[in-house]
Amino acid sequence: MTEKTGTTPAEKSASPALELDSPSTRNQARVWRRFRRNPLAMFGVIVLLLLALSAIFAHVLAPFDPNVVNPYNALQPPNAEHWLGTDDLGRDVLSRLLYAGRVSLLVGLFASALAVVAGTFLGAVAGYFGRWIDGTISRLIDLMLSLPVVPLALVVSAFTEMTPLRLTLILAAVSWMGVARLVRGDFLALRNAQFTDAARSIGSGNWRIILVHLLPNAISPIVVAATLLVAYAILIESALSFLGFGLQPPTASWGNMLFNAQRYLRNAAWLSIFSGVLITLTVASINFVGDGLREAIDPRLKVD
Amino acid sequence: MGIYFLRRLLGAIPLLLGISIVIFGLIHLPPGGPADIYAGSATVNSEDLARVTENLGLNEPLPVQYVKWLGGMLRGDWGTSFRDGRPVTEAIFERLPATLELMLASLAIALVLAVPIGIYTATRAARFPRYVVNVFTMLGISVPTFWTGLMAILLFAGRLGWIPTGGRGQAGDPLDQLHHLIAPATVLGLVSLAGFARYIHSSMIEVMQEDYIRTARAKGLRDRTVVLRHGFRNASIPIITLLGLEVPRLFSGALVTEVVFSWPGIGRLITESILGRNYPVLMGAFMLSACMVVVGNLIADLCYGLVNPQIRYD
Repeated sequence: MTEKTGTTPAEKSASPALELDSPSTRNQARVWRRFRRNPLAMFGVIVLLLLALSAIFAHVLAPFDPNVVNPYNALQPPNAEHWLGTDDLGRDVLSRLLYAGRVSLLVGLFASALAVVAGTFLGAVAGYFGRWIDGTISRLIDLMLSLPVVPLALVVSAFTEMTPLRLTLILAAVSWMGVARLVRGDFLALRNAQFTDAARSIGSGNWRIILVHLLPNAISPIVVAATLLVAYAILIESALSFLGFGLQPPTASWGNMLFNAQRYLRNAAWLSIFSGVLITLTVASINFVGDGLREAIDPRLKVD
Repeated sequence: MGIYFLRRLLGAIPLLLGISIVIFGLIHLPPGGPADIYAGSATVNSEDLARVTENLGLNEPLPVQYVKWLGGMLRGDWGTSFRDGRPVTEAIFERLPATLELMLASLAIALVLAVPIGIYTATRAARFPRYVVNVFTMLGISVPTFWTGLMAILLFAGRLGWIPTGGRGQAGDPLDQLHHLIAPATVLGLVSLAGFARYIHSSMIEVMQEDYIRTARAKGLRDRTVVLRHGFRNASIPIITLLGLEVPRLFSGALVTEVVFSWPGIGRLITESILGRNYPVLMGAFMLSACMVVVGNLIADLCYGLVNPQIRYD
């Protein structure tokens, strides 16, 4: 995607732009080299790969059906048969954790993708067109940043029947503002850059300038922010589900597994330990990768 | 400065108006609005329902209800709680001190620990590699507050018996209250602590490379003086803005922490009110928290100007 937008102008226009192409790939190689040398970021990548694989192949890896209820087998501590024990309804915790990973990771990924697209669009439009459009969007950002978004997300979740899609939409709705601000700032500076004037002078339309000329120049902070947003979305999802307002059982997510677990904190601690460890591990790994990307691209880059 | 303050204050008014519209809309638009609660109850017949709807003004068009609600808010009448018929202000303000106490205590813990950690890890005296700081602060940011809370209860209340499992302690017994406060405040403060430490750390590293630091060293000042008087003083200015930005996050975190530790604050009131569909209380609580955020940011902006002489208002 990044490469594509990077090379389109080179293909379309004449030779000077073609020369621009090679430093940009060289730059990508340098970023990757720096990223690879960051042990924490690489640790994050490996952990995330493992988590993604375990979520994709949950149906192969899970030793039991995650939703089969067996009251005679309830609240078993970890043992040879149930490696991570069973929950209050006798369901296998390991199997549920694997399937829950699917839900939590997908919801986090899609929510952040949606938030990035929306935030980038609004920020770009505000920064590029300025005037009342900027005024309106900036006020909207201020407003959303002043709202108690997590409690409001709770209300909306509680008053509507929760599906993964709705949850994704709610999470995206409360997390697009950071990206919008970032992109707006970049576009404010870029719209007066010389190459923007040049593009305008050869008759490029506004949207072409925004997509082809300005966006590739603002892409690095967006990539970093997008990564960190996945972590944020997963954290909020787990908090909503933990409070009982997120995804409803029998669908397992790491958060709603903890909702039930807190009642059995004293006599079945394993129920609350493992899903919390997984959430922390996932979010930390994503943050390590995001931070590694930031340092590899430009150590002075500030992303919220 | 005075004019700037006035302008910011006036700017807050449309912002708060917008916030009030969003809050009102979000609560009234989804199906299952206020009237439906009574409709769903088995003991309410249609006559009673009509009377209740009438009394609460729920059959009026939404814009009219909104204007009435807003007017009431401004006059100090925030409506009556659906649950017990008490004024909303009473229900909210009896819970507010607990939440403020929790937020302030956690902020204090976070700052008191983050400042020395951030400074120390940025100086040459720190012997361990940089990524050790990175790992710990990143873990602190990544761990969900409710889970830290559960683990704290499991370990310190369950296994070790050092802290109570929840509640706010005996009224009038400061020691007992402090005893109850420590765990939730620490749990809530952990995320802020990690964030602040990261911020101060990188801010210090940046400042310590400045020319005036080299000048200070060249003058032969003691290391301590250079780091604290010349380094930290300059590095600390952005922290003020950071504190202002921390308010909304802290409020959301407090909500979760209060649920985990049965802390009788606004957060618990909100979750109770969601379960009981207690709309007037919800709207009041949300407006109050939005006001706290707006005022917090305003104060942060003003302090920033006071501390940093480079900022000019004109």
